[in-house]
Amino acid sequence: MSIMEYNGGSVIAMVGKDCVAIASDLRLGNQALGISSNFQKIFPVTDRIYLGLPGLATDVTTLREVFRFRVNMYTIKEEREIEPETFAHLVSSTLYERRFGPYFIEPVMAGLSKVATGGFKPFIAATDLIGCLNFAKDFVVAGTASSKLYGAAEGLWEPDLEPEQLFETISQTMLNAVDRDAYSGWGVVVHVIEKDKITTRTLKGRMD
Amino acid sequence: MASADGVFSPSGKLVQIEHALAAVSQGTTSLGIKASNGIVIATEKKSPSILVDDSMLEKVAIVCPNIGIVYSGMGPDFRVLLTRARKSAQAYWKRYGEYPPTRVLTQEIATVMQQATQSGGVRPYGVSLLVAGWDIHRGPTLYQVDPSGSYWAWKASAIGKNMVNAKTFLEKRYNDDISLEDAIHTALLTLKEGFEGQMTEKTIELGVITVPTPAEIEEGRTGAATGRPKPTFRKLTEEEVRDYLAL
Amino acid sequence: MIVSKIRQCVHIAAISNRHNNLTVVEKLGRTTIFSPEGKHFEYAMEAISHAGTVLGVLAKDGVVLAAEKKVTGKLLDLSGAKEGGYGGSGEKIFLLNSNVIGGVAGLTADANSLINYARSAAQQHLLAYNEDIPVELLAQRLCDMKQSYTQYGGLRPFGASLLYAGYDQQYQFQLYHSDPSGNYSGWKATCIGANNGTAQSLLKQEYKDDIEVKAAISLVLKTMSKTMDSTTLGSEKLEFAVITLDPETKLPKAKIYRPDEIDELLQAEGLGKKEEDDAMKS
Repeated sequence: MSIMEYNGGSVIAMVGKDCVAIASDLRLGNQALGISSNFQKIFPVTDRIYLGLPGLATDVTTLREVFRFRVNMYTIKEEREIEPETFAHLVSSTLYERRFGPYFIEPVMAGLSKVATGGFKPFIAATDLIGCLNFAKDFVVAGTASSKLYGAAEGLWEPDLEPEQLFETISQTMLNAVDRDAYSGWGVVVHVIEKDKITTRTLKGRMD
Repeated sequence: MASADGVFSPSGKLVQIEHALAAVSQGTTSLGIKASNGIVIATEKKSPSILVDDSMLEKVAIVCPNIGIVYSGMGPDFRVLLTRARKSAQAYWKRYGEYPPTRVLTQEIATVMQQATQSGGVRPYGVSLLVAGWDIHRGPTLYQVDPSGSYWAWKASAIGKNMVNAKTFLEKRYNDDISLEDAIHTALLTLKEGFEGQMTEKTIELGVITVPTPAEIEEGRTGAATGRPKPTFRKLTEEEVRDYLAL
Repeated sequence: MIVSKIRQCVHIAAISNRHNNLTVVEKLGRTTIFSPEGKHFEYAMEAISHAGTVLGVLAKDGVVLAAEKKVTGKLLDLSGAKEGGYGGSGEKIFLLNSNVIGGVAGLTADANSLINYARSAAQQHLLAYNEDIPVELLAQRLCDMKQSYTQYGGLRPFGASLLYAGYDQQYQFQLYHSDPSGNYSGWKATCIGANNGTAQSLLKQEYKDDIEVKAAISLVLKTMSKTMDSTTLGSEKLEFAVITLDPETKLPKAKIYRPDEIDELLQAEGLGKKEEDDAMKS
């Protein structure tokens, strides 16, 4: 048994046209025993950055709090909100600080970054448990259902999806992937981030 | 007597800091001017003897690609602070994947200087610094840091021997829309005011911050081709300085 | 530097040390003796009494802080304050945490050090307890640190006093004052820095226990205009902040006013500059 599979759970983030979406399942288990169908794994870091933390549940909570600490200090000192790229590096360096005793989490980030001309560019990133960054242009996946998420996303994703289309795509990807994984599922939550609004929806899926 | 270091005098002053400021006032003049499209920092380079190889003397120095620094006061103290500043910039880069904004780096240097006013067995740094940098959120900014560790953002400032006259001169000539070219000329004129000896490309140093275009900024973002930002700070070469002096 | 150390021996007469060749260890030991050290707070207070005034007033539904800026000049770059998201020029009033604002008077560099410490302490509390640090606790943390600098060898006291204006669920709105010795106390209205005596008596007369934020703002601005060295109030000499409760979220809302917002406020209170004076603004 791997520690990364102890509690179960998966997260995915996808890029659309001037928007990004991030989704996760809601299961918290103790190996095969399911405990909660309401366990939050995606957290807002700023208005425009969302962080997904699949993996060991205790580290989900701890990392969420550690990043809140570091981002608060950044915000107060620099008197501005952190940008997604900078936050991704912060995630990477925080994880690498524990290189030889890591957090058992593989973070996934989604956000909109400011462009010099004034608009916003979609941004996604993921790291492994010791901080190796992956700046994909299409989608990033992590968690116990990651291999299934890769397959489904590869099949369903296409570039320049509008927010509503992106929602459908990421939802189908998530629902079908977690149905193939015993340790993920028990509900799915999806956040679609656009420049002036964020839509959060909970999906109706198989509860087994 | 460490207790005497940085101890309060009856008038509420920190005597060691006053002495440090005196050391700064004996140093050669340096100045900085913020323009609408950049910053110029300049200093008088004075060697103790003509036998000194002054090409090795560096008063205007780079801290990281977007921040440059110049000082007035004690050279050795500056060297130490410069190394600390460079290390701090690298530590920031290691954590965030980008170089620090000017203000953040200035705060770090200021903290180092303040600690030397409040620790046992150390004396304050005998330098004032002018930190010039560019970052995407604040644009070009110029900061002055004093031996006490307090720092202020300036549109134009001068430190060292001739600072009072230089500041008056700058107040008269400065306006908010000054261009970088005009700023460089003004800097040279201001330096000339109190200059001891001949002002040539060998006896002054100039550093310049140029604001990048939006295209250049995009190129420098993570995930793009090289991922390395184009440097915004550079020291002018002797030829360039000579050309400016000739005008 | 050795020369200047000998000169300073004259001030600390009780430490009869005319030698300048002591080892560092012996030198450090000298700071922990009592009687002359008592003077250091007085001297530190002396430094603070020359600093720009900071005024705080506690209201039923909020706390108001105002400060006089001493560092001004035509060539001072204030562009950061205009656009910056969190307001303040970085001289007197600082955001310590989402529920606490701090106002400092005294040595700027020492104040910056304290502000940094306060911000870290607030985040550490958040990390440990998952809730915003109670205002008094934050004041205590800082004071414990300030006190240790007065007791351990080789260190001098921080030359800065602070006002803490904040909100927590336990005691709602609060205002505290701490000084270089590490003492702190809670206040309904108080003042530190230059002219604090005058301001304090003015506040004593005008303060009412059930004052509301709007009236507190007027009281603060009126008092500032009477105690400040300048003849007219303007955003280049004044920093201003208010902490209130957001009516919907019920969370504390800290607002440090930007220069244009301060001018607007002054106009509304009838204390702003007249039209002719505008031409003088840089």
